[in-house]
Amino acid sequence: MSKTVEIKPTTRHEGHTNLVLTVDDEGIVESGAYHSVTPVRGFEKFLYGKVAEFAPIAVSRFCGICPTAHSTSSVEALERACGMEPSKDGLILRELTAIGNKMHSHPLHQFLIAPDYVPKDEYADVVKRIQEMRKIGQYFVDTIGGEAIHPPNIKIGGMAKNITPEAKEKLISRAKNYLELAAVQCDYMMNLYNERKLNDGTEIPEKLGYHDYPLLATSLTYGDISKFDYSQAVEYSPFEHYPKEVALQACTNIPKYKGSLVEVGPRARMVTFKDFKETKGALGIHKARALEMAHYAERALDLLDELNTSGAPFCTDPIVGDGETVGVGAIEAARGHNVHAAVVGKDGRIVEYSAIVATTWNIPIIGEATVGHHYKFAEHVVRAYDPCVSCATHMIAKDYDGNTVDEKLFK
Amino acid sequence: MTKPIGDYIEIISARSTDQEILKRSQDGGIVTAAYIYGLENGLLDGVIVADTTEGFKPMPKIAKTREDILSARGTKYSLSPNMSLVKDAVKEHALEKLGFVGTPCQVIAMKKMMQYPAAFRGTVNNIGLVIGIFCMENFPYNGMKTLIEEYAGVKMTDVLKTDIGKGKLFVYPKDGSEPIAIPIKETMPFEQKSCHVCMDYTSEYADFATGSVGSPDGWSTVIIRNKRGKDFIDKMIAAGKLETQPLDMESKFGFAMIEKLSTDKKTKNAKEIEHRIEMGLPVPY
Repeated sequence: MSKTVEIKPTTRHEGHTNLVLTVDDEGIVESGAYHSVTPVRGFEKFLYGKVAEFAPIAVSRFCGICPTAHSTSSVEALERACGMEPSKDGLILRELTAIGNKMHSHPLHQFLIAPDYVPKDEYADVVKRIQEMRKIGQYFVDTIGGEAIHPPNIKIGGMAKNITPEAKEKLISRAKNYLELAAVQCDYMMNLYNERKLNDGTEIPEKLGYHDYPLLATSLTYGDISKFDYSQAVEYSPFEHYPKEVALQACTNIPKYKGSLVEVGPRARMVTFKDFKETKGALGIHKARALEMAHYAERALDLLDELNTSGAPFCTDPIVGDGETVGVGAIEAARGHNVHAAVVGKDGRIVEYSAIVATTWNIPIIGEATVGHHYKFAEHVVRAYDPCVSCATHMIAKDYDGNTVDEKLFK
Repeated sequence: MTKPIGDYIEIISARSTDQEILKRSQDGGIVTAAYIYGLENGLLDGVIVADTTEGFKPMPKIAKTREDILSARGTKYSLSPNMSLVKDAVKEHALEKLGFVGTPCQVIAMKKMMQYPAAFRGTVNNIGLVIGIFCMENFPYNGMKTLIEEYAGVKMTDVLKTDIGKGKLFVYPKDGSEPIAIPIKETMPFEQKSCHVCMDYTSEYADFATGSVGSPDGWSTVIIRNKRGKDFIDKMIAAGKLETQPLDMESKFGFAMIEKLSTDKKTKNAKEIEHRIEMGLPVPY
């Protein structure tokens, strides 16, 4: 006879979520539903009618961990809606800021899973190294973006300010330092993952978190809109996906790309762009994340080399749209493919705004990936995706046919 | 009434030993000498100075070399929004040991920012030294312009230096002719209104404060206020960058003068504050 196991709230990630599992007598998960219970934020609604310049500032407040990813996606979307060509150096600076954010976010996740994997006597050293790496990542965002959290320099048309040659030198030396730290950290974490054991000795099932859904990534480090077709992304109501009693609580909708759920994030990127053939599932994501850190620092060094510190950081084209063109910005955030779409009117105000953020793509996958193993491993699957849920919270008033969904269902 | 000149560890008279600095400095060249010493010895990696742009208009600047600093010597007696560059200096200039000089109000702002770093997270840790200057009052640029152009008959573009002393505002023209003096009484209507509620004459919150009052001509009084200021000045003296002498504690033109001017400012402005409160006007104290 199947029983229901509920883990609420799930811990050691950002935001508030529940995991509802149906398990058999052995405790093996038969079906899993992972859903956000973070209250609806309403960003996409209150942006209507606001001036376009306000959007990157507002959406940065989706979250304090990856504000950069949101403001970057937002400015890319708005630029395309307005037909603007951002300046070359502005784009380099913007990519550097986005990379800095990931350079801090990936080690942060390793800190969150450290109590699961890292032996107690090595814990302090690992955390110290993680903090050093995060400091470097945040230094990038702070110096180029103007603030480590909610960087104000990311603006439509490029970046508000260029950096000085001295700052560039400091960034180069820190990126090199990061490369060294990342090599040590990556080796260390890979050894732990390869052992397939939690630090209490429990063996992790080999196929934990396996699923057969496709992967979606547009770039290894930044984002490439040419690899993403926004018209193929459709958001469904939670009632289409979850059992009714779960859907009543869920605060996200379910996005599908080309008719299928997709996994986004480190593994998707590494498989698509780096020929990553490691294991699938939870440990596969962990490994991909560990390997990615060095790629970021390498890319940062290339970009810094390319950067002209006396180049114009932004273009001065007017920020006005035509009221029809949908501009799409797709950026690879730390947790995966992050899409913002916007329409700007002739008066420079936002006509429509929509965001499908990284964790929104992963949320339905996470629940399904818990199936087939004991429920005690379920939270390790959740954590592997590093869900960052407050930004993934999203509400629709209409279903995919354009019919208004009964408001009562959302109470 | 609070202490006339605030808390301090030590008070001395000093001047720079560098002839190039002294040649065009206001008095003892303390700020210039301290900045150059800091930059050349790694105690500071950049400083914010009040430079002048065309028309003798003060404009803050981030200086990283001796030449940058030397070109910004001298008191401006007009507002230079030095605080506005603090964040830029720490962010895109990536400075880690920033030197800051300001009027007492700017020093108060800086210290407030260091105490409550809202919106300055990560910035305040990179402040290496805060130097304050003595300040009785300041002139808005247009007030200064009217004074110099109308009273002294010198075009703003022709001004080399201004100086206040002996009850007069001296305007030194660039052509090297004799300075023109304007009595302080004449200048009073042009003062900034906000200066009339300021209760700080000697930059009481700076690491060290400096000004001409209390010392002989060509020397500056240095009020060392905390350990950071003391360490810095001690290093400068040890390196032979500063020449010092004890402050005149006896005559009325020495320490007594600083106390008197400070007390005067506080008494006068306390009255103004009271008056403004009576009138229901805002007072930022």
